[in-house]
Amino acid sequence: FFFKQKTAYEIAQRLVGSEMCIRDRYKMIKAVVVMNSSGKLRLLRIYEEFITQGEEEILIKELFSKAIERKTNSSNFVIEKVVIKDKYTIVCRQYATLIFMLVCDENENELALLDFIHIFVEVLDKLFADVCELDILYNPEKINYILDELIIDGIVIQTSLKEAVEHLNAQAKLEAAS
Amino acid sequence: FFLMIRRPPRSTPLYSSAASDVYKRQHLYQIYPGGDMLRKNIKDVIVGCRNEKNPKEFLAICLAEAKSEIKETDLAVKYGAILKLLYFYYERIDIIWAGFHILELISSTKYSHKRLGYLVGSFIIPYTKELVIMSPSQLKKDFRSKNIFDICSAIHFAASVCTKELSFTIEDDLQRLITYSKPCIRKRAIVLCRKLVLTNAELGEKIAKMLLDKLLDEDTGVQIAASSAVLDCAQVLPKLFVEGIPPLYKLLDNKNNWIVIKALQALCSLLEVEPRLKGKLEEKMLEILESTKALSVELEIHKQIVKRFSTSSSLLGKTKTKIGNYVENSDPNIRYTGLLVLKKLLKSHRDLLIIYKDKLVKLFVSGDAAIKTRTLEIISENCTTDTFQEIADELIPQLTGGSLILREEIINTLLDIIEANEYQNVKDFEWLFTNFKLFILQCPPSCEYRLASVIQDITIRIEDIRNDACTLSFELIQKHYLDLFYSDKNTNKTEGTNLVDVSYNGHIIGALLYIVGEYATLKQIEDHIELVFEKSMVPENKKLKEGAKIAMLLTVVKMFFKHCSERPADKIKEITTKVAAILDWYTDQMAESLEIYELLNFYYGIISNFETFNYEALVKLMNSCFEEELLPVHAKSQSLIKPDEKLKIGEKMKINQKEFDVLKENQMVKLLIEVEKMNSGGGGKEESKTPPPRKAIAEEKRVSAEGGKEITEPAEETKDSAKTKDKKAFKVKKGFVLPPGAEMADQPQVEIQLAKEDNDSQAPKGKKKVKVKKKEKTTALETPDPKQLSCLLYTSPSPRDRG
Repeated sequence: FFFKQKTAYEIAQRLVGSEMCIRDRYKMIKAVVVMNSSGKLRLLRIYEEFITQGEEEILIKELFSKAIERKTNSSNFVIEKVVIKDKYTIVCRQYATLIFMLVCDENENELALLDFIHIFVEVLDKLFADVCELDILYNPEKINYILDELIIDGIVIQTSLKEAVEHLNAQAKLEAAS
Repeated sequence: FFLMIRRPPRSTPLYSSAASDVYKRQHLYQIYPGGDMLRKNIKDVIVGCRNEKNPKEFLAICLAEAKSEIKETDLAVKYGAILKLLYFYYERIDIIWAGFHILELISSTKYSHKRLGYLVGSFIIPYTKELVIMSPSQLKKDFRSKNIFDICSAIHFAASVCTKELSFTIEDDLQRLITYSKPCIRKRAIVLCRKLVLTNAELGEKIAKMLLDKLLDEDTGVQIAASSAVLDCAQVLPKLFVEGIPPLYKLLDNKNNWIVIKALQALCSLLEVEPRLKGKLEEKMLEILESTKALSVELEIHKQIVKRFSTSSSLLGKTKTKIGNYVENSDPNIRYTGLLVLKKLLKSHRDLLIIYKDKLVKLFVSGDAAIKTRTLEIISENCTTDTFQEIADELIPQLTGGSLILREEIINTLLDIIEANEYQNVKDFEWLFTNFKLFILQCPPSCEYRLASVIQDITIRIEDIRNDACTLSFELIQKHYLDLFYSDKNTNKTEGTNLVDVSYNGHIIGALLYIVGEYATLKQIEDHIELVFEKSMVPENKKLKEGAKIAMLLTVVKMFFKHCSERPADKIKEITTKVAAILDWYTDQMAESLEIYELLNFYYGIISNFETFNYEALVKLMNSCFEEELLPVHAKSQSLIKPDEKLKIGEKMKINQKEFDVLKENQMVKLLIEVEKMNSGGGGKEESKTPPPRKAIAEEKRVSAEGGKEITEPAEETKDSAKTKDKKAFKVKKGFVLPPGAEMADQPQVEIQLAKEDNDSQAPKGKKKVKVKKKEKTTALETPDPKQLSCLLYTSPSPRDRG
């Protein structure tokens, strides 16, 4: 992959918005992954276009190995160097048997993302009433809908718990009625 | 089957028809989307997967079913199938083939169908560009739908699959969407705008205006989306977003921390195009630092300070003080983020490492894997001569008992610092060598080669340290020889991905042996020669790679010859037999490569016939060969050595059949055959067989192969009858080793020519033959000719080159 790392200024000089691959240096969340402690995927949402599916596989494997390496009193961040040849950060947080991971660019604010994971989990909790892994396992489409309320295309659009829950309830009603 | 039940008689007020119950219950099965008695719904699939003994087979069955179901026209069935596909996606089964069917589902009027279709579509359709082309009409329809949630789903989909072509079709609707009455549509439209700008810069100008308007929208969600969008777009087209600076500045006062962070990042990235902003931004940042309670905002500010404001002393001062607090915080996350800021800070201000040195070491000792890695990076990038020793003293104890990855990282970091600028960072090499012992014993396989080459390199370059190096090497050989082969006592079997690579290649052994061979003093040799002999015959040596084996061999030989100097011949007879035994053993067990073979051949020839030579002269000669100091050669300078023109190194060896046939007729060959016959007839004392396949000149090789066939049997006989050690499998160079008194008159001299040799011209008269000549008298060599020796001497490559 031949694009060099560019500063914002360099990018401006060249104005290559369309030719430049989106993966260069944009401050966004690249992927959301939820895994259980034995490595089974419960949620996978990739916002950045990987070149091949092979890269996806590598990413997932790496994520899992990093996630299980962590012990309880460790920090929640991991820097990953392998995939995409860019450096990116993995922010992960464990809730019971599930590990929630956000893969993002290293320029993202890690602490803010950590809070964001918590908001996601709180929304899940509100909607499923004491959410557990089985809820997530048996309702894959609903989890995705919830995630879509908070993040679109790697950009966070909602940080308020109340609003998110309201919207989602309205959508669920509509779906049930149709 | 139950679908074919006829409508039964109706229930009356007096009795209910039992059959009607069954009939009514049919519909229950259709509550599960796409499910009925015949078809599995997604819950069945999941439950099945969990319960089945062989989930993969079960999944394959389900996949096949889904594939057929998805082709049904009934949208409800399609829905069920596509829902299952979602689960397959998590099981990493390929679902890209379903693209077309998903588009069909999207065209349904039901919200649930559309929603699911758009969702799964966003996973698949980006990989199938052809289908993206089909989507615009559907998208446009949905953008105008009365149902806002339809619009939401459509926008999600559009944002994930957007391509340049699609962007042109979508942009017409953007204006309408982005000013929609509902904020949920607006914020999604903003994300779509961002994506359009990123895929298609031409739309930038139009969209920039739209985005900037939304920065101060009344709804927080819209502002969040807008600030993120502006941040990314400003990286592509900063000039268009300069107008956004005032609203962004206003956003810095917002309550929502996410907005503040994004706005700050956006403003900082616009600094390049608007330098006047800098002063104002500095003030504001100081203000925020005072007022904010959110740690994430604080950290963001510090990050930006280190990145772009490192010239401002007031800001930088704040950062310096705060970082100290962060890295000592009890929360590991804060420690980690503080560490990241510190890393950037030290990059530009290396002198500050001294201040934070203690904190770094503390962090390293107490932190987890991620923190340790970060700390090591910082150390390796910023260590200088003054700080290295202290830091190393803290790190080295961590090696014992550490995990494989940890040891790898520590050793690599330390080697980085040691090697930097030709060992500039190391003040005290003696201290270094005392630590090398621990390094070697704790070395993980991946670092072995590097460590070995560093140790060897230092010893070669620094004369004063050679004594220490030899002492260390002897100690390790004596006490820890087998540890250097295969050490899994330190590797945890569950960690590390390359369990196959756990055994060592002997690079370190090679380096240590090289050191003792080259630099051991006579006294040291006297003390340890038996030890080395003993270790050279250890069966594990077979596992060593070629370079280490050669090093071992040469060390034995070198030590032997040095030991022999200033000792009379009779005193060393015992040792000579030992060395010959070692060479023997080597030939049996370890001579798997050509080079080892050649070496063995050469030295065996000398040593097994020690008595025949002028002993003192020989010893002196051999020692003189090893005397010269070998210094490392830069890789580039090796390319300056040009091979002789006569040497056709690049050319392939071609066997020309015609030439070969001619050769057969050749007189020389006939003579050779005769000679062989004579030799075998005489129960020849020495091997007359032609030499084994070597890098000989093509014709000779062919000749020997061809001519030798006829005499193979007799030669075998002679082999069997042979009793002395001389008659071993390897071939003795004729021109060199002959028992005294042998009839040489009729024997041609066939010598192997080493590929390196290009010194035909140098060949002393008559002694060294290149081609087979008829009758040549030679006398048994008494004093080996130095030139001859030096030509044939195999200059050993250092173990390093072999690696």
